[in-house]
Amino acid sequence: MGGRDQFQDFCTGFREELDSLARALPDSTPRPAFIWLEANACSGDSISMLNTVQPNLGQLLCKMVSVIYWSALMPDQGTAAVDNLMATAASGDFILAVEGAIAVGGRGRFAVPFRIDGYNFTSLELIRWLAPKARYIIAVGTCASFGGPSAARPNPSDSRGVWEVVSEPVINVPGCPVNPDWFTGTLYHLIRFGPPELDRYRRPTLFYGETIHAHCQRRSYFDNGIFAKKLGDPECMYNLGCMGPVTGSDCPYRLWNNHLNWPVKASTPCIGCTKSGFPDRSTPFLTPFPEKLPRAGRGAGERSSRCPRSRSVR
Amino acid sequence: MPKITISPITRISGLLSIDIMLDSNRVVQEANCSGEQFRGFELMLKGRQPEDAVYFTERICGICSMAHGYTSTRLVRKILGLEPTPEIVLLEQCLLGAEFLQNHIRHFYLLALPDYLPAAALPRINQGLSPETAPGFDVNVSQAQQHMLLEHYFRAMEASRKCHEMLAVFGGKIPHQHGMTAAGVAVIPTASRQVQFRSLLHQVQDFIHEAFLPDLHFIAERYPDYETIGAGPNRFLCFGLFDPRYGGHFPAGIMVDGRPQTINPRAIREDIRYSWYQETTENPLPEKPGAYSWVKAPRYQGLAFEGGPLARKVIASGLTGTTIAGTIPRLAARAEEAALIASWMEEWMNYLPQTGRYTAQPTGVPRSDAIQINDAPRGPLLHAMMVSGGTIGRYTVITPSTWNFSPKDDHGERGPAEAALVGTVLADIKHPLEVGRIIRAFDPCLSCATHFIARQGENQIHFDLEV
Repeated sequence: MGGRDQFQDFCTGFREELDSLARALPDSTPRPAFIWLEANACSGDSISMLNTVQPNLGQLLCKMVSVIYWSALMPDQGTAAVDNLMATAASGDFILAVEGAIAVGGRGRFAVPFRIDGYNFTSLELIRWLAPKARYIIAVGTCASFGGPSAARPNPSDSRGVWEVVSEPVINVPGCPVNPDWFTGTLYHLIRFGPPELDRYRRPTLFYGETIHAHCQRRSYFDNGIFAKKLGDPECMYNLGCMGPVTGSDCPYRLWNNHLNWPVKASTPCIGCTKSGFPDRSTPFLTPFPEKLPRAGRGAGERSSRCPRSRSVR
Repeated sequence: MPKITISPITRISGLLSIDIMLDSNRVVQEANCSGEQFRGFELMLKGRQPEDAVYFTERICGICSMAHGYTSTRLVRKILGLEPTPEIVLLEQCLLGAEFLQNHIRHFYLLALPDYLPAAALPRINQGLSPETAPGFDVNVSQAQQHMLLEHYFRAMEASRKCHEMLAVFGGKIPHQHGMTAAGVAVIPTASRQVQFRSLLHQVQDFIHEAFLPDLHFIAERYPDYETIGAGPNRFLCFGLFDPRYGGHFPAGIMVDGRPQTINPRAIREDIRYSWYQETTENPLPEKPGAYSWVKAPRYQGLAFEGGPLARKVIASGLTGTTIAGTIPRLAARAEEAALIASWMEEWMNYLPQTGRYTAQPTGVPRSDAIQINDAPRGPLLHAMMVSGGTIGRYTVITPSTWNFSPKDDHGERGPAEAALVGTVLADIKHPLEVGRIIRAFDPCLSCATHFIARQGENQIHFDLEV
């Protein structure tokens, strides 16, 4: 009977399809060595990663990558932890994720991830040592991407984005904190398909390619000129300082914390946390954004003139 | 005297190193805790709008962002002359409670528990682990029990994530929530949101009672030595947690040598002799001779105080006299507190109206300076602000880990974590397991701990006090 043969063919084909899919999944591919280096940060990006749902944290740690160094989670401490890092760095085949800004001030002494035999390994020195050896470098969160809150004016520690202190290409996955999906999606893309398409701020267009404003649930209010007067109102948040029109991010679709809410849905403005000028160019947070700029202060202007778009893609 | 350095101390928030001096019997004679990072939030806040402090100070700390937001919100309301309604207080307490549950569950399972499991039990977390990582590891836990604890380690990931989901129902997102501001809470607790919040709360409560408390009791039973290993200064400080008018709360107070006393923030001072700041100008000075930390040394009436769940428990229960500070008591107080706060949240939810005044009321008089103290997950948290010309003239933060992980003060008195290490016998100086266990029981948060306040004549907290 043709029907039965067809069914068997279908099953065989489907099984092969499944097998090839399974081979492609991180589960069955050799897991790339993974180093997560924390520099000058609040640890919020590590914490946000703990909130990842699909993949869940267990899958991320045990199936997607082979974690060699991640200060927030690794069992080892002291020299045992550093030995693993050194051995992997020497092998030269690993994915490097950086959380936090790189403190350049005080000869790097404002952020010392560890010291050995009395020698301070500053975040500045470590990143310059690790970057040439890494297969890919991911700057996780706005501090690692652009300096972020760690570099807010007057930037006492002279903190900077990773791309500003290394010459290797860096993929920026900003957000304050990073949305775990943005990081796991970027990581999966690197493992499965290689480097993703990036925008002029070297952020994956997959997540940052459209503005908040383009997909905001409250867009109809904006188009009809109906604006919220106070936090908690159900209308457009533009007059309360919303940065949505100039902020590239998929928050309105993606949402946060198991995809259940996001700032505008919570009747508060987007504060533009994925932007290179965050937080200085977003403050005062509740002032409409055209009026924020003249008050942003010198630090913000300085930093925006050094934003990644002014540099050629390396 | 042999000296060992443990750097980095992993499974904490932020960057921490510890130097230990031992005698020939491997007894810790001296310990130096070094906070290894500096950002300078107080300087950044200068010149900004008072309202901006809420979202801004949340970014001091990724793991307890809600605690900074909560404290700053209360401070900004004092400055602006806003009064929270009872509905706001109840809802905000529910949100802060969710942050406590997230902190406590993550701390015990993800940060502290691996210290009590042989490295081989966690093989897939860290490929680089070699079997000889932990020779002489005091394995007091059978293989079957290790599997059970590991199972709970993974369940804890889900449970703690759900705590943050509770918070996001009203906060929009977390870390660094949006919904709670000086103006009130922007998301009102409709029936739909209440049922979502409660469902998550009940799932987390199930985890606390099915896993967290039993696992804690199990570890306590298996490591009886740690009842007393890691005893601290036996002086406890709590700035109060939750509003006494609404039921469950921890009272503010101090406990010195078993004697309870009331609290006066004017008695707080910060020393910098061993911190990397210039004595006169307070500018950062990483090359300062003798200094070893970015953390300052806050002292109350000139003495070091321990804060956190154990301090709250001691002060609330009025336990007097007995020496109870140790590693297991610190861990136990945290687990018990999680169960307690979850039950209080349940009560607060029972009183939470669907419709009400979720906007703060302008009933007070605006002020040019104010101070806000309350407890955060790791202990006493202080935010203070002075406004000049409508913008922030000065902002001061003293966090719990500044107290617990302070270096020595101007008189050479150790910080609480340092004091807890001194006297400990290390079984194997190549693998100082004891140090990790003692230190992590304090739940260090070094991203929080490093701050910068002006000193000359200003190190005494002299804001208009209305706590």
